[in-house]
Amino acid sequence: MIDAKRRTLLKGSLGAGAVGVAVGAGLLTPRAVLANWPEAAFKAEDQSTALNDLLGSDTIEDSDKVKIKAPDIAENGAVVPVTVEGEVDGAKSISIFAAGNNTPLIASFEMSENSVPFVSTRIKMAKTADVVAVVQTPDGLLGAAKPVKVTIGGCGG
Amino acid sequence: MSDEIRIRSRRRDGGVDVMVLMLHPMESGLRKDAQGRPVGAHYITAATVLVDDRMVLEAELGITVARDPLLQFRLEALPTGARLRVQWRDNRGEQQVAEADLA
Repeated sequence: MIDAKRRTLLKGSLGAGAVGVAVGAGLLTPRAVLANWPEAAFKAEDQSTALNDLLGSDTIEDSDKVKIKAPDIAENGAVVPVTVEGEVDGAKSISIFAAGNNTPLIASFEMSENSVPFVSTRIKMAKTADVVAVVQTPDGLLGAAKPVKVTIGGCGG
Repeated sequence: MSDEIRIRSRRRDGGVDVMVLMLHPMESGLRKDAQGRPVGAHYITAATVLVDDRMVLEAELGITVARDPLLQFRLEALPTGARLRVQWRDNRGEQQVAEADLA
């Protein structure tokens, strides 16, 4: 439901219509898109709730088509590089979680027809835990996990 | 347009790799300063990437994205010189926009 709405917004901005013109005109932001932040998912204290809020389901099929690149040991939990690739057709989004964080959802990336399901960013991890990646496909959610040992946590102090 | 967003792109086999660096404190709101006073939350919540006014990637970020968010992603082989536009918005309503030509 939530997702269907978000897709509509995305589609709406693809045409070079009113939105495109407004964007081209300067600092006028596609507010409909940027104001769409899924607060409940980001504030959820467990991954399952976050997934349900964000993607409408928490049923994940483990898949080796989802590749996570992250260090085995992160000395500084404030900056942990993570790369996720989904070797699937029609990936709609990639979401990244750190299972040991108070709020596990870190970021979510929505693809378009011109983007390849490959994203890389740097995350904060409170403690040693799995980094979990979830790729949303037309056939459901595919996921993978990669344990990362964190020497100094990077969320609080 | 803004030095707070840096954009680089590079051709690769059958596509383009894009790297976007957004200078931002990404304060979680959970941290205290040296005097023990809480530091208010200040973080980017959304970043969008458009190529020639078409949305290609929409990122939603939370407080656990590291300071100065770095986003790297891949696009299909869109034309060289296409206008790449990145904009972010944070939890305080501030926003930044930057543009670059696609490699």
